[in-house]
Amino acid sequence: MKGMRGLPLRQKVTVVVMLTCASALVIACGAFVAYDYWSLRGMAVQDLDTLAAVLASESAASIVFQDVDMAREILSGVRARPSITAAAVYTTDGRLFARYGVAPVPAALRPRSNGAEVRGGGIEAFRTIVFRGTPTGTLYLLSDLRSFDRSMRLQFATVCSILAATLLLALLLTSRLQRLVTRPLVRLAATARRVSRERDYSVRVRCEALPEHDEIGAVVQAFNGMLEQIEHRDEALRAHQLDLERQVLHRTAELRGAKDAAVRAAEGLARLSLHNQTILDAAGEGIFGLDPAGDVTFINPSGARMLGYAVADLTGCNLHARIHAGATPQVSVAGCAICGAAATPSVRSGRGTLIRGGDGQEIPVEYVSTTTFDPGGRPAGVVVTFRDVTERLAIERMKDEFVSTVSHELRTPLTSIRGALGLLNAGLLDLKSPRGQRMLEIAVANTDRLGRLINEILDLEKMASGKVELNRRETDAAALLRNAAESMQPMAERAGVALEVTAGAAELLVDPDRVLQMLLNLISNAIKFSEAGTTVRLCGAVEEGRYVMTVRDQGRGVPEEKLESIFDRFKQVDASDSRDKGGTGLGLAICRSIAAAHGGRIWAERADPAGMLFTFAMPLPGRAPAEEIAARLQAGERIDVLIVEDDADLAGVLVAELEEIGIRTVHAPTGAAALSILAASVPSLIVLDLVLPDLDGFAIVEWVRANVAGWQIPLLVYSAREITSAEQTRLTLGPTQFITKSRIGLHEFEERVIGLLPGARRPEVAGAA
Amino acid sequence: MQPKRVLIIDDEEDIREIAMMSFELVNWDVLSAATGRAGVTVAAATPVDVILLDVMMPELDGPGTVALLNADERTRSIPVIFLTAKVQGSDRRRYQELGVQGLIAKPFDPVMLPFRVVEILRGTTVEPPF
Repeated sequence: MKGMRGLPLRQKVTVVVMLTCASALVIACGAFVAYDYWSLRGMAVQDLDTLAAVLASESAASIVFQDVDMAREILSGVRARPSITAAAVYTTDGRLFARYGVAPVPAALRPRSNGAEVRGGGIEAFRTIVFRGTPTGTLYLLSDLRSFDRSMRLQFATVCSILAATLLLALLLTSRLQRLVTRPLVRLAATARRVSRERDYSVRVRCEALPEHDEIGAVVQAFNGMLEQIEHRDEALRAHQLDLERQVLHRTAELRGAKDAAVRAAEGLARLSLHNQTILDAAGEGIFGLDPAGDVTFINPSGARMLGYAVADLTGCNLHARIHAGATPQVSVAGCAICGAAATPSVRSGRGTLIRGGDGQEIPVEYVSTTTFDPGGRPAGVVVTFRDVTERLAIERMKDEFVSTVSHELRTPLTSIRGALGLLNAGLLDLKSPRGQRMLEIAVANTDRLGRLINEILDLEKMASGKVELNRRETDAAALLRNAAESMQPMAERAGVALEVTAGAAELLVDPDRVLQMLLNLISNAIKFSEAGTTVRLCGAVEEGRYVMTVRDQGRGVPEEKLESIFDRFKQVDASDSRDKGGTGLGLAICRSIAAAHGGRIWAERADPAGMLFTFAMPLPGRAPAEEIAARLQAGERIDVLIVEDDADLAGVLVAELEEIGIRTVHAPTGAAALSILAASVPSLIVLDLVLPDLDGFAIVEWVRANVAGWQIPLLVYSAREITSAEQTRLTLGPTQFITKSRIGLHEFEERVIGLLPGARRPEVAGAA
Repeated sequence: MQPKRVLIIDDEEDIREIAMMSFELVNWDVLSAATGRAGVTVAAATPVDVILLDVMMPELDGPGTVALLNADERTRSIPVIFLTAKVQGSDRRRYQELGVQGLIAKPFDPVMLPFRVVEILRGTTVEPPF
């Protein structure tokens, strides 16, 4: 039975049916055969018994007559019955009387009752021979079971044949009929397998003509119903899943969006924070925060530097105490206009002085102090922005002084005119009298002087603000010098001074009127300060690619320390002296402006052995510097320029312009970038913006001086403001020029850059443009 | 107090000349000097009743000259009036602190100059002395 369990249903049904059939048939046939066996054997015994009775009756006479032959004769009658193997007749005393057959018979026979029975392999029959009522002997028959066995064998064979045929038929029928049962089940199973394998719930078990009341039909229908339900559920589930997936996708997208937004926000915040930090770091103004105790919460680098500290020095320290150290009277934090928090939101601003760390110097500042409040509305301290106004105050002072000087210079001749005319007008003086005439002379001379002064002031102002357009023309230098000398000849003659001209020929590209104005100014100065009988020498010559004009006198000269300041406005060595000679104090300032406008330079030296030597050197016209550079680049020379500029637009223009003529450029938008570039290689030229977001120009120049072996690099420094001469000294590397952004056009800016390149023919330009 | 003698210190020759003439016309004695230092020397040598002193002069300016005058026993008590084109408020205060008597602005009316000087010295000036 166990082996059957693994069989397919069809075989199982077949086996079951066949077993059932076989067992039924075997039992039936067995019963039939058993019945036959017993009945046949009974019949055989009965038959033998009957035969024995017949023979006994026939043989009674032979025994009575002791006729053995007759007895034998009678016994041989059993020949017809081949199954009888022996027959014998015994006397009453048990002695064998006669016998027949081949099989042995008992030698003697005990008296026995009549009857036949199966004994050993055969049937024995005994019959008492009775003669006229008197027993005379016994008949013995022995039959073998040969025929019985034969008929039994035949019967068995028949039964077996019938059995086999029946079973074969049953098998045929079963194999046909089992389909009725198994086919739906097999289909069901196949479908179930397919469903479970393929998860295809849309399949159905086909069950044509399966009545509903059939259990299998019911199962199949229930299964189909179940499948349908599962399919529905599955579809619902799939729909739900799809929906879920959509939702998940949607949510994911939303989340991603939210995350992106958050990331963007964080980046924005970081950028803003960096931006704020950059602003703080880059701000030219000092910015610091204090808590109500006056302790620093933050301070920017500018602020720390202005106060004479590093940012690290000040972190957490009491800044109020430091910046007001030694102030009298001592002011508490709360009472301090700068450091004290106000009770209500307010912004205080004003001017004050702070003590700088290190040297303890007082620095004048302008400040804005804003009280900050914590969320609870309590004052949390102050944020102070301040600006060191030392320079501005100095500039204001200079401006005031200048205005004051100009007004004084203008009022002086006006005073004389007003006085002279006042006296004449009052009728106190007769016009014709010498005194009256003298007053008129004074009025006229001072009117001229006033006019000259006004012209020169205006002239100078125009020059300084770059409003003067040079009307450059090709000009013969020698002719220009001779022209100047001729113009001054009368004045020289009046002063008894000789005027000599040595003029080297050259073609200049200048505004001849302006150069002449300069020369006349220099010559008239020279004559004014010359003693009679001395000589003023005027020379012009080409030197090192420049045309150099000199005016030399033999006067008393100017002290060494004033050689530079005489070019400042109203800075005559001895005003009374010059005014005696009709000077305005602006001539040399104008000369310097004219020289600068021509890309040249003018300076004064003490002449040997005595007197003054004024030199004006200016570039000779030639190929434009840019063309020259281009030619050098063509020749294979490598020129690279480092542009340190945080303004991307300006840097972009410069880079484009320089790259166009083949100059390699490297742009550093920050001081740090500049330092790393400079650490790697030394450029041919540095263009340096003074104010950068991180480091300033001073720091970069100092760094280059300290860290770059060949630090004498040509340098162009520019800034939005004027650079003082002290600052210029600190900012110089190799050949260095300083320019003020607002004073100079982009084109000139580029010309300066090109002009500064190593080996370029450089115009000698002094100071700021 | 009727001044008898006035000293004019100014580096501008024309102005000296005009100022001198305006005092001469009212018969005052007038002395002049082209520099502060020369003026102090004159004042120390010759008694003067009032000094008209230019403020903006090369080398030694008005305040410097006042300091020199104050340093000398002989000139310390002489009243000084500034004659100047620098007459802005801040300048006026500075001059007052120097202890000078008053201030006459350039350009001045030469006809009225002696009268302004007298007014300032008497303290009866209709204009404030500064």
